[in-house]
Amino acid sequence: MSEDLGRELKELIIESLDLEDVTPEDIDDDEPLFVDGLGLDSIDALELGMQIQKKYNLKLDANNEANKQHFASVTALRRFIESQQAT
Amino acid sequence: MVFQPALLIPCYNHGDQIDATVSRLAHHRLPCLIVDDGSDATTAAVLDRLAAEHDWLTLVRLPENRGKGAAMAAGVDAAAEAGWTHVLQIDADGQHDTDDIPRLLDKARDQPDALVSGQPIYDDDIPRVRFYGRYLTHALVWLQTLSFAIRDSMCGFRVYPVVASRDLFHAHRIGRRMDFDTDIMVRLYWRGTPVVFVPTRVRYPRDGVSHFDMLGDNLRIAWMHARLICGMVPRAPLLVARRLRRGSEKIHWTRQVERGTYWLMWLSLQLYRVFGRPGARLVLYPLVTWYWLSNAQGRRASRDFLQRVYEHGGAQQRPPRALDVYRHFFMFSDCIVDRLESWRGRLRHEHVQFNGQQMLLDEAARGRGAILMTSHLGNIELCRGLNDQLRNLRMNVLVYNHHAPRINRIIEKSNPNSRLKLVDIREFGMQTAAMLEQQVRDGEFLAIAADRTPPSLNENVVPARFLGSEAPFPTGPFIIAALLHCPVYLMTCVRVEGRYRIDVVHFAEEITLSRKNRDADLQYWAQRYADDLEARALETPMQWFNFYDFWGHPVTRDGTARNQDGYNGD
Repeated sequence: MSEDLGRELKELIIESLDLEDVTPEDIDDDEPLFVDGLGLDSIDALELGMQIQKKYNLKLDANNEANKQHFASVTALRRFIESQQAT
Repeated sequence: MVFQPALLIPCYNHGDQIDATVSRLAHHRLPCLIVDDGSDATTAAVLDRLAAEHDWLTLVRLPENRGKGAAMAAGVDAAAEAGWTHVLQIDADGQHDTDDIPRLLDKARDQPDALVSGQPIYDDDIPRVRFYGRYLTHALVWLQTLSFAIRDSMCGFRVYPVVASRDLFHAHRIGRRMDFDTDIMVRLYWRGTPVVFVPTRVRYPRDGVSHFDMLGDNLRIAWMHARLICGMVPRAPLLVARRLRRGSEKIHWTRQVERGTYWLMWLSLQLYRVFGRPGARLVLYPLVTWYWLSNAQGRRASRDFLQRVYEHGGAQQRPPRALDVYRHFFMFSDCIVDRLESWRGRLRHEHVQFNGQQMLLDEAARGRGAILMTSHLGNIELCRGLNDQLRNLRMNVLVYNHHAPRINRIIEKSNPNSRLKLVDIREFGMQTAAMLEQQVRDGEFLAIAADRTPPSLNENVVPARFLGSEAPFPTGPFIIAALLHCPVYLMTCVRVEGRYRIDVVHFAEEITLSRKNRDADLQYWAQRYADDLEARALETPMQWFNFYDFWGHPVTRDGTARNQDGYNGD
């Protein structure tokens, strides 16, 4: 289940950010999404935050620092979504 | 300079709360002075017990109740004797957030000569009368100091420099009761003590003991303000000189006027009710004249702008003279009067020409929202007052203003059906983006000004050519538009030959920023916006209300603006 979610997230990242030449396999679960790693910038972060919130109906934090943690990597994101869906 | 702070609590009959207040202070590990201002036996007993239990507490007792000012004077004397350099005053009733003590002390350590005051951020439970009362007091204090330096004169949560305060207590009879906090702050300021602020949360105690005596204290406060205004007159040249010497304060003056207009609006509105337009001008014209006289930077900016308009063949048809600059300043006060008229519903539809409204109505009919990019050219605030159809659109105005929630509550109270809301975007993050996206999907409109750079120094800006040279434009509005994937319109409202003209033009069906050429794309959109703004500025230059050096922040290579003249979009 959580493996599927991980893959789903990678596809969503690629699609919503128009990442050409990137496949889900290229994204490491634990690699940082922003700045290093995939090299996404703050605009990407906002875009991704919106898409993910819409798709999974999440309640994001008002605190930007907390959101940064949730979106640090695919694994962090997956855990965040699962924790929200569990409640 | 040695920095030896202590806490100081004046206490009169707060027996129930003082215990809790003291226990919250223990972990700060500071000496604490409690001045018992002639409390009753119960409170006195509590204080005696506390002083016996805690060795960091010192108790000073006044034989009879003399009021807060007297208690503070006694406390400052005791502090001077003990060798403390600063006293941090806290109210006994627990309304101050003691967690902020370190922040106040840090500020005092940085600026040991200054009076450091908490600037209250109130919870929702502040009574409304108090709220307006505060604005009236702010206004009086601005007049008494001829400066906007004092942002709040009533919060008692402060760090006093001991020596300067003791000298003042000895030289002058300071208000002893509810008039104390304002009186001492204004007088310290007069004597050259800078006043600096640290935002802090204040809880208005519901069940606390309030010692406010309606008639007596109000009279005392009125008398204090009268004395302070009289005291300002002989000091006026010095106060003005001090202001000029320090350069303009760090906030753009139209902002100051607008900030002042919370109360000024109220005052002007009352005068407007009785005397109409001339009544409101009675307040606004002297104020703007004062700004014109005292604000060299604003005058320079106006002249530079008008010169550029002249060179580019705009409506300024001669090289600008002092009179033109004066007229330019004056237009701003007229702009405020226009707002008053629109609030009073006196601006009627036949005075308005509306170009392009159908486009907005069509968007609304399709059930989708849009972004309206505005500017500080003309008087965009009038639009809703001028047009019923616009008023019926749900409108969110994006601002850099932490008062947004409070202003929203005021709007809601005065008109529960209002469809206008402010959204604070200073902390723009995923949550804000998602919320705005939802609003647009629900058919709401977002208005955002794209001609002022954000308050923070490191926000991104892009250069765009405007009236002959490059000026920095904020990237935020274009980024938000790109994120929301919605149509963008430009909207202005200017006065032309005694009539208002609202123009809505289609700007983009969707703003896209490619991943690879983000900067270039942002620059492209900012330039298109600047081009439209330039054409409009040339047509109605006197309604350009950016009285600061619009070109003055050179854009560095990494896209950040260096804030040189201290302009702040606050």
